[in-house]
Amino acid sequence: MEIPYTVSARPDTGLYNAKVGIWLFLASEVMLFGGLFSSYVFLRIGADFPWPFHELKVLPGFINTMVLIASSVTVVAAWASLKARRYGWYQINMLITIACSFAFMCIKGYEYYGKFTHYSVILEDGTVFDGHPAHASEEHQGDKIAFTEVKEITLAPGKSNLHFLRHRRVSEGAKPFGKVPEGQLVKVRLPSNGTEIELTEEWYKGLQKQYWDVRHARRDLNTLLARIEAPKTRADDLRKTGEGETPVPVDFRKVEAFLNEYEKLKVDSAEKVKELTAKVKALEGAAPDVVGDTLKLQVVGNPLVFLVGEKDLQTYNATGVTFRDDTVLTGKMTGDSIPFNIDAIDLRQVKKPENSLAWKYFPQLKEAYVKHREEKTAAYVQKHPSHAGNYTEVSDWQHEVLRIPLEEIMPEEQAHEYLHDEAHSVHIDRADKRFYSNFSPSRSPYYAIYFLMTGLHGLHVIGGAIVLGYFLVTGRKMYLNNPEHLANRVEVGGLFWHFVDLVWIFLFPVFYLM
Amino acid sequence: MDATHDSKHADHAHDHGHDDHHHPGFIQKWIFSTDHKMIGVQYGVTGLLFLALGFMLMLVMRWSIAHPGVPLPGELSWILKIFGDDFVSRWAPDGKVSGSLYNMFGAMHGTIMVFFGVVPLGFAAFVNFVTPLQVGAPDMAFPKLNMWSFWLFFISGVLMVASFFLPTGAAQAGWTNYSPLAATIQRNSDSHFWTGQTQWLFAMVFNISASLLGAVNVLTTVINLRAKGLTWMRLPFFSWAMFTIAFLLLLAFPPLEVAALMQLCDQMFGSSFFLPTGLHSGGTLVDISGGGHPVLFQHLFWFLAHPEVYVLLLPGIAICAEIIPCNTRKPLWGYKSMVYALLTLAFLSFIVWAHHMYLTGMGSVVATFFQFTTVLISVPSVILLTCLMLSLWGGSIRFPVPMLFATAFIPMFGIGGLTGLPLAFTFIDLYLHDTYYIIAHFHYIVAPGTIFALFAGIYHWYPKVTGRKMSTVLGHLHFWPSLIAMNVVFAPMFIQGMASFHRRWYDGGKVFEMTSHKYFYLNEIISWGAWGLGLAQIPFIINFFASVFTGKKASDNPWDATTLEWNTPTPPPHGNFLTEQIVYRGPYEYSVPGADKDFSPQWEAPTPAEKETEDHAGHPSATIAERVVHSVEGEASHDGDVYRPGMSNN
Repeated sequence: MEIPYTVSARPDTGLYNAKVGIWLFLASEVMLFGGLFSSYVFLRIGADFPWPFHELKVLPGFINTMVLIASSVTVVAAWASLKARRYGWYQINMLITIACSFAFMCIKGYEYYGKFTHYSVILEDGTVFDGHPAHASEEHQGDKIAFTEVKEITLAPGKSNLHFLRHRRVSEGAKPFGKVPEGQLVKVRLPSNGTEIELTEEWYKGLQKQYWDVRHARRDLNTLLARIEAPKTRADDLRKTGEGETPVPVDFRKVEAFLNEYEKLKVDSAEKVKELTAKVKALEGAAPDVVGDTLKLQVVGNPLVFLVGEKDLQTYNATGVTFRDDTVLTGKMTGDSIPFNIDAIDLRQVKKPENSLAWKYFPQLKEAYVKHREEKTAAYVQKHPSHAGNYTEVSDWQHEVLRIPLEEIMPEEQAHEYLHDEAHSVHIDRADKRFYSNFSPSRSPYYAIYFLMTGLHGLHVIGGAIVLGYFLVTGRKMYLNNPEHLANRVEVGGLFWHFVDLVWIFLFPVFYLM
Repeated sequence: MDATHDSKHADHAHDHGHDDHHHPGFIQKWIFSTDHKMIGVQYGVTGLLFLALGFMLMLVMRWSIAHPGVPLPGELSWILKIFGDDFVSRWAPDGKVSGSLYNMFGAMHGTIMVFFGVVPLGFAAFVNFVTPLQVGAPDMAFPKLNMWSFWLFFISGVLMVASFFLPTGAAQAGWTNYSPLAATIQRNSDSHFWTGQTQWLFAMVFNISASLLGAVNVLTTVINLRAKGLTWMRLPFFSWAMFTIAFLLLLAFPPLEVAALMQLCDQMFGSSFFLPTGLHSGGTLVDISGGGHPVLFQHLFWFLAHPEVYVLLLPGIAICAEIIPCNTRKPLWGYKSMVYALLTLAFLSFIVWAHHMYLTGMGSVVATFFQFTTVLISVPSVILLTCLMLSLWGGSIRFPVPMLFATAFIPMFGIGGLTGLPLAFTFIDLYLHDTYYIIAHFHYIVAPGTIFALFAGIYHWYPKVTGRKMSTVLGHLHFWPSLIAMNVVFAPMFIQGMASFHRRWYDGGKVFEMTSHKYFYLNEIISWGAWGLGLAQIPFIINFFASVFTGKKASDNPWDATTLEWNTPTPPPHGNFLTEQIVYRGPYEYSVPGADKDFSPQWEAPTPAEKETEDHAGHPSATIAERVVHSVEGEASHDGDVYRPGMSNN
């Protein structure tokens, strides 16, 4: 069987199959990125926070634009070389194309890395500190909560697992950052009979099996009881419709029938109820630890130490933390603050910048800020006299004046110390903190859509490079058999490559310039 | 298909059942097949299984609505048991359907029926099996891509079903999966990856990718692989409709993919695309940056999901447009206007989406625009249905089982369509939004509408797929009870909806007893209808499987139809046709005056007598039958759509 028009064009459409296919595919790609660009517009117009602009460094983006444009030229050259039957030139051009895509992704990776290692703390009054957690903790993540003197662990066998043990640490000097030595298990005492066991996955699996066995037996019993009860409920419901504000006539024969059914079921099922009750009792007797929905375990020996990220928790307070899987640790919170080095203060979301929480942590900088503000404002008004009356409402002024990189209000050397020297870090009270994040998608919808769009674009670059690379590596055989077929493939791949380039041509101004 | 293969093979006449290169092994033939017909059958069987699953979920929900607080009876509790002991103990610890279980089944019923049942069966199965045959192609344009499309779909189905077994259960935020509910409902689980909501999104990403591959394939096949002489206006309406649906899928699905990826980002990476500032869940502030927009999700979702509505219903019209002319033995009435209506409908379907969102308060100007386009789109829909109805007029109708279903499709679909008109208006929709009226409206379109047409299609093309006909007796036993049960299920819902019964009441409204008890009795009647509908499918299931072995042997063209798929050996071999196909005429030339039989297939060259009339009529685009009728009636100057009833039955 031959599929027609795989290589030569169909006369009336003037296209071979793959070319029809790629144009259709690109149409759907247009809708994909169209959806993303529309979402960008929607999010930016509707943003209730200062939408970041001019925050990405233009140079890497510009270089990437040039790199991609160059690769689009070389992919056409590769196709033209094939058409001219010059395989050597094809190989060279294709190699350059793929090298360009590699360069593009490296630059992208460099940009991403810078964002992932940059953090923001948003305080309760809207003040934002940009910077990074002080390099004090083992993972350089300042948002972890140190929780010590844990003597009691409460598990909910129906939902919890033992993943909370990953967060266990041992104290190292004053700080709870040490790794737990291999093989050092947690020993706990069971509430039912006081036996001491080691908290292992194996033991827990057995416990969960007992838990579900009891639940299955209870379910059978409860189902039967509810079935017996059902006609009575229906009779009650029927009777109730005869009362109230808009009563309807009640068929009392039906009510009677339901009640009779209920009595009959009660008698008929008595034996079965007895049997199931006995089964539940027996299972519960054999496994007293899983009778309740939670199981309290007392830690044997030294109390435990945990260092846990806030995002892994449902709730926390001074004496307990609850993990997302309902595991509860009871103990004592030590050190409830985030050690943080800053490089910028953003006051755009603060109602009264002069009363910002920033000055609680950096009282020494307030004076410099006031001076900075006056100077910048004067310069701004001079430059834009038309905004002299309402400059506070202009996002450009806000961006210039209320977002304060430290090097603008102090000597560069000193600013460098504020960012990198642990001695110049502040300890931000968790109570003052509203949100903490690195510059990842969780930072704000701006970064979310930045990462989603550039990430999807990056995946397209990688995918395109793999396909073009495949044509380069395996192309010779096809070239010798049917060079036109290979040229078609490269043409189709090139069309896709141009599309990927085109998307970047839109992405670059939207994110870097606007 | 390497072009380097010796092309002289292509001219060989093939034997039945194998191609000219090699015998494919078991796995290549039955599992990882690149043959469009096998892929069509795979889609069909998978789609039917999903329809059954979605239906069973609904039975559990119906029980809870009719008998709130009563444990599932033995006749139904086996449905829960197939999910395993742990599942039942977790979600129905006393045998009763809990609110969460109802939500889970509700969300999954919708998802499975729409994305895993009706679309794979109605579009993917039929388009794969029939369209390449109908356009006279040896296979799809990209057979390997076609196989990938099915297997991506299969993976998405496995993910979707597997999500039931997660500790969180499957998705519970409705089939529309609106944020912020979708993002918060399972937030308190150990892993944000192994949750029903996240897996729902992963499954959808796979599903969407599969349908994109399929759509590209169908479009390329129809554009580039049409047989010689098969001009656009000779293309059977079925293939026109499938072509249009493929365009809808191609262009409407990507925005949903965007929405799915954004929601995935919200679930996995803590972003706030769809989550507003100050979002609380369970009484506490959710630890997110906020600043996003829940309504953005709805826009992206409905930008897909409204065209999706047409993806659901057009296969029904497409199938009926083949079966009705074949069984009335006269041409499809208004073929050309149907094609134009179809294209208009497809275009308009992209600019009506926000009529699902009147309640979001998007402003009266925007609402008025969408109200206007929504009313507008009813025009092409009515044209399509009217043409089907008029096609019956004056025909000598025969009623084999497929025709029974196709005939029932018309009024059932009509009820669904006409009850949708009031919903186009904001002031009515504000009241009826999310009530059982909506449920009744779209189920009339999709269940007794599309699904009946899909049954019709199965009965119609079954002989071509297997070489045997399905049993007529079992077909009648399937049709009549189904027809009655469907109406018992859905008609009372209009009444309940107007009495403002809400679609998400897991107890059928018991907690709102004061306002709604007057129509409680309908809850039970509807549920009885649902059990009946379930029983009515048993003859179909028996018929579907048994007829492969015991059905009456069918000839290559058992219905005396005119389109190219009936010109292959039965069942068609790999590569489909024995000779190159040349098309001489339009698709529905039944009862052509002067012809020696009452159907003139597309592959038969015009007889000298016909040729003569053609020269007289001189309409290059009208089908021969139309031209013949016109010249007889002396209306040759009129448009080709004018048709005089009664003329074709000579």
